This record gives sequence, C-alpha cells and structure tokens, in this order.
Amino acid sequence: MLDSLQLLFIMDGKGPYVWACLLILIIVIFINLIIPVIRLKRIYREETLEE
Amino acid sequence: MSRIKNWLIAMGSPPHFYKWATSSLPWLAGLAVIVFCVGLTWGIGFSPTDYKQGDVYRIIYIHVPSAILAESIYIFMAISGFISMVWRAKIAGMLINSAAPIGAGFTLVALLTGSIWGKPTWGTWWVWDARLTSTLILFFLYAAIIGLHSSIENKTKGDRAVAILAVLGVVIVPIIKKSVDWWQTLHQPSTFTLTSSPSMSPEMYLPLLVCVLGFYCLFIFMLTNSLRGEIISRERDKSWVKKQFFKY
Repeated sequence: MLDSLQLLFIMDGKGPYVWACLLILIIVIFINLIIPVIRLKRIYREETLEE
Repeated sequence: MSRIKNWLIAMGSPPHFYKWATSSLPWLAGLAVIVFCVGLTWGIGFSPTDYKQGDVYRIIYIHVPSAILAESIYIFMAISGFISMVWRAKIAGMLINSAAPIGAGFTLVALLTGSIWGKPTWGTWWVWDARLTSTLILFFLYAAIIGLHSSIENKTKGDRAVAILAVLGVVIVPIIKKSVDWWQTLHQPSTFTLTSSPSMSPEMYLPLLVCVLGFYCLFIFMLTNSLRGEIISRERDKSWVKKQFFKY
C-alpha cells in the first residue's frame, strides 16, 4: 500500500510536474471561491457599521 | 416549454435568482466536489500509463478540462453580453462580471499546466506557437473585461462596455480551436472532436470525460457563489436585500 502510494507520488520522476499542476489548480479554485465570501463579509460589515 | 421560458424569465430577476442560488448552493457544491474528485482521482491515480510519455501525460486531466472550460466560459460570457445588449437584462451584466475572474483563473491554469507539460515533452516551458499564443490572448481578453468593468464607476455603462468586448472578443475561441489545424504547431491536435472517435483508449478517455464534467459542475457552483456576491453588492440599497441578507 505504502509502496504503491510512493510510486504514485514519484511517478517515475515525473511526479513533481503532475503535482505542481494539481497545486496550481487547487490554488486558483481556492482564490475564486474565497473572494466572493470575503466580498460578502465586507459588505455585511460595512452595512452593519453604517446602521 | 413555456414552463422553462417562465423559469428563465424569473431567473432574470436578481431577488428571484438570489433566493434560488442560496437554496441550491449546497447541492451544487456537493455535486461539484463528488464529480470533480472522482474524475481527478480516476485520471491521476488509476488510469494506465502512456507508453510514449509515461506518467507525465496525467497532466491532461487538469490541462484539457481547464482549457475547454476557459473557452466555454468565454462563449457563455459572449451569449450573456448579447442578451445584455439586446434585452438589457440586468442579470446578464452581472453574469459577465462574475464569470470573468473564473474564466481568467482557468485560462491561467491551462497556460501554466501546458507550460509545465511542455518542459518534459517539448524540452521548453514556452514557444510562441499558435495555440499557446491565442490562449494567452484569451487570458488578456479576460483581464481586459475585469479591468474595464472595474474602471467604470457607472455599473450600467460598465455592463454595456464589457458586453460589447465579450461579444467582439468571442472570435478568439474558434481561432484557438482551429489553431492546430491552420498553423504548423508543436501542440497536439484537439483531444475532443465531434466528427471523429477519440484517439485515446477508453481507460484514459473516460476519466477525462468525467474530469470535464466535474470542471463544468465546479464552474456552475463557483459562478452561483460569485453571482450572489455581485447581486448583494449592486442591490445593497434595495429593501429585499436588507430583509433577506442583512435581516433588518
């Protein structure tokens, strides 16, 4: 099990290329998901402060 | 048919869309996470190794869906732009504004993952090849739409300006699609074509299809999430927002 996980991680020396791509994808998705949440929180804070 | 039409007309109203989005968001998130994770796990973890490229070909499960989505989002924005110009639907302008950062993100993923894939296969990170250059132009178009909208104070005028840019810019999509046929390029031919059967084996092709589906589900979820913020931001002075969002 551990051996096959290690093989999957290393991928015959090509692992860093594949995992770097996955990391880029996750970062972009995370940014796109977090920005609307921050925006809504900011609007809520501004509006409640005004009130 | 008239029920679908009525539903679409109702969706054009921001309060109605906000209500629908709030109740649908958990379901959309669940569906997106499941399909996206199944596709990527199947493709990266369980699909067979390519005899020519080895394991590095697994980048296809990130690169191809990102590139397809980058182009699809732009087409979606052009359609929204057309609706915004012809019928002056307020929600169409909001859709462009919400979809542009997501499209820019996926175009960036397609460019960066393509570059990373290029290093072990072509021996270089970047070439000024037709496919790569036209995709870079697509990224600049997304950046222009985001920049243009944020630079115009009046949101209605901003919506109109980006709608025109979205409609005019859509010409880049067929250029990207056909670039591998029209010019001599290092880039391989299209993975998905409607006219011929796939050149990959089903063990490699099926997880790719699931990945593409997962990316589309993710886009719908991200767009709905982002559009809620856009609606609240623009309609914050309206009584329905004060009642539903600020709970006054």
